[in-house]
Amino acid sequence: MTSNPAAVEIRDCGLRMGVSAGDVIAFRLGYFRLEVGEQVALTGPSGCGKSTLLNLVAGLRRPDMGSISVQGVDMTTFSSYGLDAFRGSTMGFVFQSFNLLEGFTALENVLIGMRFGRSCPRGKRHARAVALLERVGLRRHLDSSPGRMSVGERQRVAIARALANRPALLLADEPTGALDPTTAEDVFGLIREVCEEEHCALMLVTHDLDLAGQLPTQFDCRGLIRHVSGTEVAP
Amino acid sequence: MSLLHIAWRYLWARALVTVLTLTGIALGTSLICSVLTLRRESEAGFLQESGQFDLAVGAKGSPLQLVLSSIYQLDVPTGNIPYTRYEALRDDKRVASAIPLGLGDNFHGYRIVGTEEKIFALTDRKDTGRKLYQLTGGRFYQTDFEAVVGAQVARQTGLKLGDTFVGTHGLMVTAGSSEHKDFPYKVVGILSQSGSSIDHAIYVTLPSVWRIHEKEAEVHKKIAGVESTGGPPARQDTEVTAVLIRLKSVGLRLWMAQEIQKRTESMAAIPVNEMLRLYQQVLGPMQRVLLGVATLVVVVSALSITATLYQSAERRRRDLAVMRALGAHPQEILALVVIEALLLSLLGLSAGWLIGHGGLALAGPYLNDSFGISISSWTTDRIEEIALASVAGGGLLAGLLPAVLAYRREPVNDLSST
Repeated sequence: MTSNPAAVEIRDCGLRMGVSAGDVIAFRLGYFRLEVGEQVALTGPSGCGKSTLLNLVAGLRRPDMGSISVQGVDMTTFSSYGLDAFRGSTMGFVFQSFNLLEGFTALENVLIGMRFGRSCPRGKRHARAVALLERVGLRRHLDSSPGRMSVGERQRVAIARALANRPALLLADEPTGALDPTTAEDVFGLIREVCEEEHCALMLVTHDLDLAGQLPTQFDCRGLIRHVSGTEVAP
Repeated sequence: MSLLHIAWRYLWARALVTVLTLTGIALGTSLICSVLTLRRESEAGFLQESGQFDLAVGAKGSPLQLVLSSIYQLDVPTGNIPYTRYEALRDDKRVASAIPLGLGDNFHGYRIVGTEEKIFALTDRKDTGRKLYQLTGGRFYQTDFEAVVGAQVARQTGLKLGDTFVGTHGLMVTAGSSEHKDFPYKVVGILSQSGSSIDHAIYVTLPSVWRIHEKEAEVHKKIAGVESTGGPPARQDTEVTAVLIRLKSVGLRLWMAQEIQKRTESMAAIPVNEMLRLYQQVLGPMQRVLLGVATLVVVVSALSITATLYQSAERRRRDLAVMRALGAHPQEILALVVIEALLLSLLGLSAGWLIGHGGLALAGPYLNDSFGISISSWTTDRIEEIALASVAGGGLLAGLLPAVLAYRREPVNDLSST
C-alpha cells in the first residue's frame, strides 16, 4: 500500500486470451491509474478489451502478469476466497442487462447484494437499502419484482444494489446500452450523481461517445487486445 | 437475507417443479412410513395377542390353523376334543389357567364363542393388572344364552344391551345356513374396544353352545331313526373346540406341547412360534417387496432432486455468477444449492410422514374392522427414524452434484454471456 493510494492502479498487465494463426492474442496494458472518486469512461469498438479491463479490475479474471491494485491493495496476491470478499466490499457492478435476480423484489435484490458484500452492518442493511432505492426514485417499487418494472427502473435497482456496500469503485459495463436515449441520459446522470454523493470512483464502459464526453476523463481502449509475440505475455 | 431465505425464495420461484419434486419424495416417504408402521403394529399386535397364551390345544391338524381359529377368530378349527381332555389340562399342576372354547355358530359372520366365565378375569401378560376383557356397558354373562359382545360386533351389527339375536350354524356367513331360532341369545354386556380379536367375538357359556348343537344332533338322530336319551348332554359326552393354556412357567411350553402331542389324541401349538413362522414365511417377504417399492420411489425422487437442482442451477448460472460478482464465496454458492436440496428433502419428508401416518390414522378404524389390527398411527420407531434419516441423506447427496458443479463454475463467462 502507498500513502496516497489510487482507486485503481494497473502496471504492466498481461492476459493471454488465445491463439490465432500461430499468434498469441493477449490483453496488454502498460499503465492505468484512476484516482479516488475519479470518473472515467472506457471507450472503443467492440472486442477492443473494455470489458476485459473491467473484469480484470473486478478480479473476475486474473492477469498472467503485472499487477492490479484497487484502493492500494494488490489484487493478484489474494486467494480466491479473499478476492471474493474484497470484491464484495470494495466494488459495485452495473451491467448492461441489469443482472437482477428474478424471483426477488427490488428491495431483496439490494439486500442480497449487501448480504454477500458484508461491509454494511446487518442491523443497518434494511434502512440503507430503502434509502438507496428511494434515492434512485423507486420509493413505490420496493416490493416490486424486476420482471414487472420498466428497463429504466430495473437499471435503477441495479445502481442501488451496486452502491449498497458503499464501494470505493463502481464498475459499469454499458449501463445504458439497453435503454432508450432519454432513459439512458437519466440513468447516466444518476450514476454520476450517486457516485459523487458516495465518493465512489467510476469506471464506465460505453459506446456512446456523447455520454463518454460528459465524464471528466476518457480512456481509449483500442489496441488493448492484440496479437503479441509468445514471450510478451507469461503463459 | 440469509442463505436459507434465498434458497426458500428460489424454490418457490419455480413452484410447479418444486411441488412435483416434493410430491415424489412425499409419496415415497409416506409409503415407507405406512409400511413400516403397519409392519410394526401388526407384528406387535399379533405377537402380543399370541403371547397371551402359552399353548393352544385342539384336535390334530395344522398348528397354525389351530392358533388362528382359537386366538384370532380366523380360519376354521381343526376339529373338537373331548371335554374330559380339557378337564385333565385344567387339573394339570403345571397349568395356571385353562380356557375351553366351543365354536360352531356365528352371528353376521362374527363367531359365537362358548367359554367359561373365568376368561373375563384374564389379565394382560405384558401389562399386569389390565384386564383383557373390559366392559363398556352391562355385565358379564351369568347364565346360559346370555351374551357378551365384542366392541366391533356391537358397532357393526348394532347390537345393544337387552337385544336378542340368534346364531347361524357355521363359522362364517354362507348361503343356506340354518339359524338356531329356538335358542335366542340376550345381550347382557358389551366389551370395550381392545384392538384385538376380542372385539370380533361374541362370548356365551359353553353349555349354550352344547345345548344348541345337542338339539341339532337330536334332530339328526330322529331323521336317522335313532332314539334320543333326552335331557342335557353329560360332560363326558361333550366336546370343546380348543383349550387355551397359560402355564405356571413359560419354560414348560415345549415340554408340555411335546407331551400332549405324544400321549394324547390332541395337538398342542405354541402360538408365539406359529405366528413368528407365519410372519417370517408369508408376511415378511410381502413387506420386503413393499419396502423395496418404497425405496425405489425414494431413489427416483432423489434423482429428480438432482435433475431439478441441476436444471435450476443451469438456468441460474447468470444469477449465481451475479452473486459471485457481488462477493459470494464459491462455498456460499455450494451451500445455497445444498440448502435447496435439504429443504426439498426435509419438506418432502415431513409431508410424507404426515401423509403416511395421517393416512394410517384415517384408515385405522377400517383396518381394525377388517383385519383386527389396532394401530398407534403417530408413533415412529427406531427403524423408521433410520429410514427417514436415509431419505434425508439421499436428498442431501442428490443436491451435492449440482452444488459442486455450481461451486466450480467461474462467474466471468456467465456474466459476459448475458
